[in-house]
Amino acid sequence: MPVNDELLDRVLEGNASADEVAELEAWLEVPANLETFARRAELHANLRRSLRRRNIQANATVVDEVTSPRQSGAGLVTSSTAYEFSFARPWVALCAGVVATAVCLVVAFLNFGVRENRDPDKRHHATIVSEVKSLLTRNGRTWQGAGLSNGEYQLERGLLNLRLAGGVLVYVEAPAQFDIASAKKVVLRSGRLSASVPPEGVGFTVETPEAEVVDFGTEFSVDVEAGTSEVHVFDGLVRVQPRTWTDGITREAIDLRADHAIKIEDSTEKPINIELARDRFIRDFAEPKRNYARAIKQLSPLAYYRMGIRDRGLVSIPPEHSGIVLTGEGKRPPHACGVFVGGSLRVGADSTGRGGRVDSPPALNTGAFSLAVFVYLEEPGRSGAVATNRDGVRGSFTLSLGDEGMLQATVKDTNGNLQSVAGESVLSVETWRHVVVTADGERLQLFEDGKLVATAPCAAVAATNTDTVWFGTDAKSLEVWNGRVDELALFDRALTEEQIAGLYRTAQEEIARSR
Amino acid sequence: MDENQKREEFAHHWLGAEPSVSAYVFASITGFHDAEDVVQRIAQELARRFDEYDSGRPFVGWALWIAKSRVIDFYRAQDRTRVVFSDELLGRLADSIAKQADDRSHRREALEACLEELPPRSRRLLDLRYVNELSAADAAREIGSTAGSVRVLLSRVRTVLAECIQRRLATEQA
Repeated sequence: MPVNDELLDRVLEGNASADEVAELEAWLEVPANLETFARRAELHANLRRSLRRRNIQANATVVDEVTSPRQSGAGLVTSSTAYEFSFARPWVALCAGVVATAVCLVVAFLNFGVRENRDPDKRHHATIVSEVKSLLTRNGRTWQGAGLSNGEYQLERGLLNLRLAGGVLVYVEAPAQFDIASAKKVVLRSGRLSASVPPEGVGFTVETPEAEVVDFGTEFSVDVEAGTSEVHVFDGLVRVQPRTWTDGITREAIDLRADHAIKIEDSTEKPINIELARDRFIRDFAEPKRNYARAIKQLSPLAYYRMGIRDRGLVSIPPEHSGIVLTGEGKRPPHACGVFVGGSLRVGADSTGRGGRVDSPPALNTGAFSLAVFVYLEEPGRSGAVATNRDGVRGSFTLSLGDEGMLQATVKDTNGNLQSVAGESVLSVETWRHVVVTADGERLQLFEDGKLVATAPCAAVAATNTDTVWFGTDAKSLEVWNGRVDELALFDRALTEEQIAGLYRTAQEEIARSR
Repeated sequence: MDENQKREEFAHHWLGAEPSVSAYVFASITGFHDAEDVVQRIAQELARRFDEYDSGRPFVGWALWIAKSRVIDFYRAQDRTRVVFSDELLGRLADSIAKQADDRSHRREALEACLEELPPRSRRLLDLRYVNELSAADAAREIGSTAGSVRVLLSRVRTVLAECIQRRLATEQA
């Protein structure tokens, strides 16, 4: 069967048989053929656009003639046709070729951040309290409502915070498939959710393919994937009832207390105790207002990025240095649980996160500098930028993972020389590390977990006023971090050893308290 | 950047990328209305997520990446018996279309000129298909022919146009 223009047209018009499409797919393996096909599809799209535009313009001209006082009564078109094109103006002709486009632009901007309630079923069992770049679908269509009634939903992208009866708050992370079974029950078919259950919500239940999890006033998370359900309890008590085995015998329920986790597999009879995964689940969108943030603010940073889970990018304190979250292909959202339970910027790994970019950073022009941040590697790595403002000859600092798997800080001094220091130990995976880089005009220093680990002589740091800053990536998107970045603060002076040790102590207390 | 500037910047980027996105969607989804509906959804999503766009990279690449997801969404929502392309092929198609983006505006301009050169009968056939949206069988009834002949004739007219576009571009670049 020859692949010729006629066959390409039949495929593009939807008139080809399955055999012909299969034949075409094999033919498209050759890059040149794929280009030919793409060019033919472009011709179809352009013909549709051009011929419709010509038709609309022709009709609009006729209508202008009909509606013009000089031509009134000419009666060339019917009144309904005249109405249809009565909005014809020069800009319509411009937009008409992209009829959909014109509508898109208007609709898209009018709908920025708006959620309409189009659900014909008013018996809502859950309400969307907040969402972060989410795409929720039901029956293959985007769900536009703020209320969720009975039914199966798919969270294809982003994060959702739902409220159910009794003030139960549920946090769902994409990708996830779940049913709202009732005001007190969610069926999680796949994905991750966390629930926070006040006393009024006791009895709230999460059902998975492998178990039923009944809550008794607590905070817990559930992870369902490929025949396995995990239940992690952070506070209070839940009862886990494994599903009836194929032999018809009901398994004994397990009461799971705080700081415990179990895994239930459909292939094994007994649930297995596993380690509690504190860093895996997003359990709150809000950043806790606690001591570490206060301690940082007391040191008067130029900009402080708490990496909270927000829909409007990378929020800075003060706001004029805010930036954007960069995204690409991936499975999970560009956020993850942070060092103090709130959020963090998630980059690489299996997420859509590709880092953050700040186009209006604070000026660093005093010759001194400090960067304080928490980093978390999700996979072993040998490269990846934590933060940098270097782009060719521009910029003055970089904190990144070096070839040896150790953190490395580099600054450019006023003479244009680069000075570097590197850590002493390989950065462990799945562990938060507190990192501070300081430069005081004489020395460049690197601190890890409150301790000085490296020093090198370094003249005053080159001044930068408007150079873009990247977090979790570099200017060319080549050095992408593979994990999380949290609580990042920039200073135009060198923090002292004592201040850095104090920050780390506060962080440790904070971590202990938040967990 | 304030909201007005953002709108202007988005409009600028979208007008440049729209031909590529349309070509991609028309290559992946049959039926004018379905394809145009998907293009509209893509534009909405691009506008909504414009903050995420990394201006250091080509907008068309980002737009085609999102377009791929919306095409797959469309496939999922359709009857499973419909013939669709694989994810992998959709990805390669997006790459190919992104590579052809540079000359796209020239090809559109050339098409306008080439349409003027067509004989009236060919233009009528194109209008029946692209403006009146008639099937080959309905168009055949209009012109007193057969559906098979209409398909063949339409294909030949497109090929004539494609050759005309190539010729014009070659002359311009000479």
